[in-house]
Amino acid sequence: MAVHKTERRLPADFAATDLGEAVVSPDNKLALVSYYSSPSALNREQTYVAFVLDAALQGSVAHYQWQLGTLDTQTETGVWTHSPDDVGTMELTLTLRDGGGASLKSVTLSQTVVPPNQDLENLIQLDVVRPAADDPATSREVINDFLLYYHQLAPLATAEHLNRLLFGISYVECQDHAKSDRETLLGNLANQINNDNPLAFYQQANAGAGICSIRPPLLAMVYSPGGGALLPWAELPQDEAARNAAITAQQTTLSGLAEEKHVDIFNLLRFPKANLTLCKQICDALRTRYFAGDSYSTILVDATRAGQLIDEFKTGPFALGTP
Amino acid sequence: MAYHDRVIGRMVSTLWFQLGTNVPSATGAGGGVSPGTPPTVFGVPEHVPELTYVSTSGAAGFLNDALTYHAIYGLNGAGLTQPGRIDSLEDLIDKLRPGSAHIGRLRVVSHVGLNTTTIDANMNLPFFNGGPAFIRREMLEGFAIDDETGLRALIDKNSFRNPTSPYFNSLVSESLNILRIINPGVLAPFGLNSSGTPSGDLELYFFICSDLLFVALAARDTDYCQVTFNGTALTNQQQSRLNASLTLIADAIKSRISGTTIGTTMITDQHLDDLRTTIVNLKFFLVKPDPSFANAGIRNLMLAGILGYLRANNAAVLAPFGLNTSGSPAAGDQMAFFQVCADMLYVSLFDRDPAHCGLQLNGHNISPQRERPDLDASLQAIYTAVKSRLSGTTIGSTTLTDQHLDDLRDAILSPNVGGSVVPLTLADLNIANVNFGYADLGSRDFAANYDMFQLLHSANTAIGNNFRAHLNTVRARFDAHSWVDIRGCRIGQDRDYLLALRAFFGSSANQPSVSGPTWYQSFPSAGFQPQTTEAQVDHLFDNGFSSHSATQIQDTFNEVSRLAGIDIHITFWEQLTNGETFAFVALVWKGSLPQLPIEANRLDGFLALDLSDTMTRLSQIFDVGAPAAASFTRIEAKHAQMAALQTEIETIADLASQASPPEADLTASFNRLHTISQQLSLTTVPTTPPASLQVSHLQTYSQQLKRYFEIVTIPNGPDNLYQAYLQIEALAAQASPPAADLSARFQDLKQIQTNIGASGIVPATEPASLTAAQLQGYVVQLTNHLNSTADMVTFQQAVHGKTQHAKAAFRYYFFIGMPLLVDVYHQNAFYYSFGALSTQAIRSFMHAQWQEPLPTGNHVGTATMAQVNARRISILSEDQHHGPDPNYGGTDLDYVNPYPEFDDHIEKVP
Repeated sequence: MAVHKTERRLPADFAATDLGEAVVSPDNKLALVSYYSSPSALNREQTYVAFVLDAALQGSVAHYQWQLGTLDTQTETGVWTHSPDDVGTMELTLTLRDGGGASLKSVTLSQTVVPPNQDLENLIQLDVVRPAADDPATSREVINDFLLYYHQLAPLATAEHLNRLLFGISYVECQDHAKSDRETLLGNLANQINNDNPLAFYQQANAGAGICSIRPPLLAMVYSPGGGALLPWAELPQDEAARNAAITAQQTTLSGLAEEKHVDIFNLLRFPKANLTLCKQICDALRTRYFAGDSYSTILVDATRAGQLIDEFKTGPFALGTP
Repeated sequence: MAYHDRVIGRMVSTLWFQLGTNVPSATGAGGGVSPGTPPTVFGVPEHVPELTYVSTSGAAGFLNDALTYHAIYGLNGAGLTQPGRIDSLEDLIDKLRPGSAHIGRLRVVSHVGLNTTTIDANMNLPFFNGGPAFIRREMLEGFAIDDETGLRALIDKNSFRNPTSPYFNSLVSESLNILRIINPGVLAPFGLNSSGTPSGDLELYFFICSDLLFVALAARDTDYCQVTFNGTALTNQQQSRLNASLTLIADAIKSRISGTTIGTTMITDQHLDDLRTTIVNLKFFLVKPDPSFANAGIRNLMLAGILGYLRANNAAVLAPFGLNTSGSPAAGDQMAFFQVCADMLYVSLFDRDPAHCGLQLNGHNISPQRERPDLDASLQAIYTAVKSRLSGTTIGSTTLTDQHLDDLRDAILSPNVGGSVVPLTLADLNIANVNFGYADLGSRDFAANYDMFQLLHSANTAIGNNFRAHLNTVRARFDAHSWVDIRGCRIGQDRDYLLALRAFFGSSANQPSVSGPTWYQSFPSAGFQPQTTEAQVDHLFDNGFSSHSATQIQDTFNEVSRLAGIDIHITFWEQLTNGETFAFVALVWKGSLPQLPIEANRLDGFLALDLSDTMTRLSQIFDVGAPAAASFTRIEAKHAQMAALQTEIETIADLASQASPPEADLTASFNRLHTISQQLSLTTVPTTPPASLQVSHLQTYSQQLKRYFEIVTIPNGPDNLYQAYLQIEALAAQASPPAADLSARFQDLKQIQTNIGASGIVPATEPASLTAAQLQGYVVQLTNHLNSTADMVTFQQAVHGKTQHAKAAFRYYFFIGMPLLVDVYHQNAFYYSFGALSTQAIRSFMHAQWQEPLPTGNHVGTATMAQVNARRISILSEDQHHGPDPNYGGTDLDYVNPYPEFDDHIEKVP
């Protein structure tokens, strides 16, 4: 099976390591990216995506071989999930094979597996302080899988409030959209792109996708590969009918972009690290446009302004003061 | 709830504060040549405690080892510069009490016993100051609740939480019965003066009063009842200590009852004190019914005899009772009065005719000295109480007076016959003989292998010294994120014990986690053996050392190497040194060198080293000769441009991966290449970019610049070879390069061949139909010739060769300054290290034993391999025999901190 379109290129202006933990072959023809960065937590499902970046190679790949310890699995697509069942160092070797089984290219990604966050497990087990652990499934995902990314994107020393904002948005969205549902949606979105149905892609992603449930039009207004946004900034009308019409128009406009743009938007939504990065960029843009560029530490300590910023992210952009 | 409120809620949530702020260790997988990511932590090290205490109880060897082990790491007790010593758990509480800061992690080292049948652990540490060194789980559980429950747990581990009976045989119903006769007033506030049974706390109070009475009776006369300790009657001191504990329990219950209301009566301390005093002072013969009360046959016989005699000889005395001719005493006080008089007569008969009127206690006659006074006083108490109630009552038309009652008693006990007192005999009563024996109240033996009464005494004293308040003060310093690490043999096998410690140190939701080893804990000092040459390192690998076989050395290394990520490093060096020398020398790869999870001296500060220092360091690490100083001088003069070019090459590769790289990015890259070219005094990159700048242009410029380093800088080649190269490249770009130009370049190359001492590359005669490609081939070969002797190239090859060696990882481990601790069995642990780096190696392993930074007072920075205490390690052993590992024919496994298997044998609760 030929390499899917969704695994043929990295988003413009994004390196493989901007998507997750990654290893790239020395000739830059193959990149292996995992959703979560080391150390990953025991028994938590990790997703690996193989990007075949070389056109000639793309035409030759028939199978993907995933070797991890004694595990040896072959897939027809470049996506593989695995839940590590032992702590320590694990080395995943991805080998691209042609129709005759010959090895085309190989990379090895070494990762560390550690026990799940014990402090969280302690909180969850303590009934009396259960509120502190919040929703256990979501807390496990956020603390075990995403925590490093919050701190990479928004270090506490310099961006504590942004750190909290990313934490808060992703927590609520992951609680509202279970991981299995999110992955199902991403699978459907990939199918639409791989089957040349961009309009259906944008329609199905209308409510948002990925761990922060980012809406593609909002992402496209902020994501600016090479300096220009994919979609001009446009506030949504207050009137519901007009608003729906505007959204439909945005979807139509986006579907007319070059195919590589759809792929890039999809991958930015798909990978948790990239999704958080875009969430940050969107919030940055909203802060600049509607809060006079005030710092997060100023905006987010004011409940009214914090609420406005968060609502803009969830449903905007709209002129401040309108719903 | 609005969406933004939910988000804000999470932004200020406990979860974010408690866990979200903990920055995880980023391992940062590298791209390009980076083969992966090493482990972030070397094994699973122990956590650094904020406070450390070592017990003073028990064999000193283990405790002294523990003391020195922790001292060298600067682990200290409160206000100390070394671990604190504790004489007891109470002592620990006292030492923690002055502070108020949150305690994140407390470590206590103590001997621990374990009953391997029941898996019951006990810390060999006094609970309270001056007590025996023995802490049962139930003691912790009891004092975790309150002092009353704690004391109960000291007395009886089986029912300390919800007692359903007194500790000794219950005297509650007997006490109620007799008090209703002799002192119902003391029961009246509780509504028990005529009937009923106590419940709830009042029942517990009666239980303790019963116990106090039992202990008092046992102390008075062991024929009444017995309290023993390991089969021996209690000493006065033991009785006193037990009494004190029971009294503390009674006081605790009293405090709960006092102030409550029963019926319409508010219970006061006085009510309760009166009740307790009255019960505790009851005589044996009051709680143990006397003959007439206890034995219906004797009662009827005596009553019949007395009534028969009086009717015949002194009927008048019965008249007020209406019994002068017939009838029996009415039930109740009237009958009780006749009974107590009958008992008094019985005692008198026993005095005068014990052969026919027996009265025994536990098979022997009532002792005149010890028991008889109690018996007489008991009967008198009953007589007085009953008489007071009967006097003034009416029988028929007669109102009874004290005189009537005393007259009747006297007529029974001392009848006046003809002016003389002639006591009644059995014959007067028409009784041939009669016998009665008292049984005792039972016994209770306390069995323990520690001095239980010393324990009670220490507890009583501690409670009197506000132990509870002190404990609560300390508990406030722990919360659900705190840890208490107990390091004592096998305590972790008893999870319930760890949970009991958790409850003891915590309160409600703020209970700390507790950990403890499931195996034997020790802190021995390992030996050491430095290896001074690569050959010695190889010899160690191949042959082992002393009692460590080669297999044992290699097995240990394989495990440690995995933990340290050594293979990842070797792969990194292998790939790096197998690549282009230009990239190797440019050093841009440094940022991709995975960081090891354990300190390695020769990699410390590695990223900041310049070219010569980097290569010198590599020469040390791989034990190969370094390039000449002149080479460093030559290359370093242009190294900034080399590094910039390597970075630019990677940027250009990134641009090449883009379908439509931004023009601005292309131009910026061109400008950077031009700057590099200018700085090298080259014209390789023109001042202005081509009209339609493409990535391919950038690739060409960057490759041509790189060739400058490969031809000139690295091998110290001639500039004119590079100039020839550029000219030939230009010719090759032409569809039909002029033959004259090709010929001129051929001559140039021929001369250069001579100049650099090469031969056989450029032929003596120009080939027919000379092509640019042929000239390019000559340039490559000439360059290869230069590089074949370039010391930087041969150095890179030498390093690569080392990475290919079968023992490459083993050597590397030693030569970067890591220690190999081989512990195949406990008493023969050894550190192996590279001799010149032994000090750094031991410090590395010392740091590796702890997950967090050590306190500032630690001595790791001055530790050396020669110091016994620096080589001290924390070991968990499967058993105490200290034999070889089962993998090598033995039975005993040992694991050293921080190897993961060590942590596997640390039990943690909850």
